[in-house]
Amino acid sequence: MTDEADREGRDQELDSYLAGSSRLSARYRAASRETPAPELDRAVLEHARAAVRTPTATPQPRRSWQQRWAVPVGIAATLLVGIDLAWRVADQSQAEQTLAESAAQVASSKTEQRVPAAAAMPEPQERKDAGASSAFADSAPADQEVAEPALAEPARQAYEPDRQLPDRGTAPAQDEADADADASGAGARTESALRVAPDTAMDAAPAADTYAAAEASQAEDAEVVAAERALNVARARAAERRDSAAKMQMMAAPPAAPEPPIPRRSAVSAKATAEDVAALLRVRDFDTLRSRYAAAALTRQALEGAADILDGSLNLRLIEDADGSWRADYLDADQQMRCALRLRPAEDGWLLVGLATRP
Amino acid sequence: MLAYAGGNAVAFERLYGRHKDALYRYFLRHLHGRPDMAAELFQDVWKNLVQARERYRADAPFSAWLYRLAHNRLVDHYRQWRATEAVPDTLVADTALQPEPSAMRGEQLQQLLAALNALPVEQREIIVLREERDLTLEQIAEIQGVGRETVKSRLRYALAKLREVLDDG
Repeated sequence: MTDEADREGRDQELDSYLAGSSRLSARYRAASRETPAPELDRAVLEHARAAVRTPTATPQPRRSWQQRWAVPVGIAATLLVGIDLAWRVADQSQAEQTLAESAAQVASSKTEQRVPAAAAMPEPQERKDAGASSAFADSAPADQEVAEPALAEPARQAYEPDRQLPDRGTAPAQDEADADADASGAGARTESALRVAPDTAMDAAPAADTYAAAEASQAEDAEVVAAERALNVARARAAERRDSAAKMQMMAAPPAAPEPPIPRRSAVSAKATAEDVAALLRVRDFDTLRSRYAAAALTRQALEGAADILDGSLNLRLIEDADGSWRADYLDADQQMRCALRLRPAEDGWLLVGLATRP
Repeated sequence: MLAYAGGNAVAFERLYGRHKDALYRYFLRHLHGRPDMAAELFQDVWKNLVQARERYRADAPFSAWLYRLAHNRLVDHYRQWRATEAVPDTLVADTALQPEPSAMRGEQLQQLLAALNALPVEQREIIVLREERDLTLEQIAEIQGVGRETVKSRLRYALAKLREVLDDG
């Protein structure tokens, strides 16, 4: 009972205080009159005015290094990825363009090949001529100029596997102007074509086209075969040109000198050379004789020694023809020619350029 | 306060004039009549207010925000005080700031301040905030970081103690 009365009294006291009508509030407010000093007021007000005069009153919290570097690092990464992508797209576009050009060349060559037979008859000759001239032309000294025909031919082989490569070895003889082409230069250009062709073919190989990928290896093999064949043809033609040039020189040379040259001794011993020549003549191995002495000089002693070895009755007769060439006739006791060698004067004697025998 | 945050220094002068006396007495009641320490904390609160002016939001009364800053500064002061020296348990009247009260008023003031000084800090703060700024129980609860009923209970105990002292006097 007492507790309830106390609780009710405290509640009334609380309500009276909250209403502002308590004696406590009256006494506090009557006694509470302290104020801050005027110096304190001036200091606070001056600080407040100074704060609004300088707008940088609120310092920004220091950001971490991750926050500060996030944007620059992001921009740098974006640039790197973008440049790499652009580079790859450019390469791909270039490869596609190269493939398209190669395909266009193939299409045009197929179109030319599929014309009616009557119209196509002269084409092989033209194409042989074109291939030969591209391989032996004097006006193509640089590798780059040779590379284009070298690329075009393997490309046609790659897309036309059933087409036979023109046989340059059996092609008709070229004009004499073509025959004057430098054999070594032609060989070098053919070798450069052999070197350039695989690289050039590799530029077209990465094409995404399935057909091109399947034909890539076959095209590469065809290129190697074609280049090797071209090199062999070039060597054979160089040898033919040397023979032709010698023949032309024998036929169109100015009048001979009055005195026959006296061949000097070769580095090869006369006896050995005479034995060698005699042995070859005995067995009629003219091919070996021709190939061995086409570049090495035959001495007078060798030729005479060979006659002695073959037959003691044989006589050697050296005759200078009107074209400057020489003949070495082997005559028997009846003055019948048993064998005749066509010679060309050289520094150390004669070079064997022809041979005729009587069985 | 929003006008001052926008750069109007005159608005701060009006705001300061309305709240400076009550805030000064708030610290004076808690610091047992040490006007130098009360002035220091008083000035610190206004500096903090100036520095935090852009963070002020108008969804709460300015008085509640101001005394929240004052409460935090007072708590920091108590922490530092207890670490260095003993808290004075006797109230020393600052007669220099008194407007020459009569002997009767001076005696009653001494009794009232002695009774407030005898209260716990939380109960004394409730009485001061109620008498100086007439804050509601909810606003005081927010300043102290407690519930409304806690504030009401503290106030009930404080009134009972003060009544005993004042009735005896």
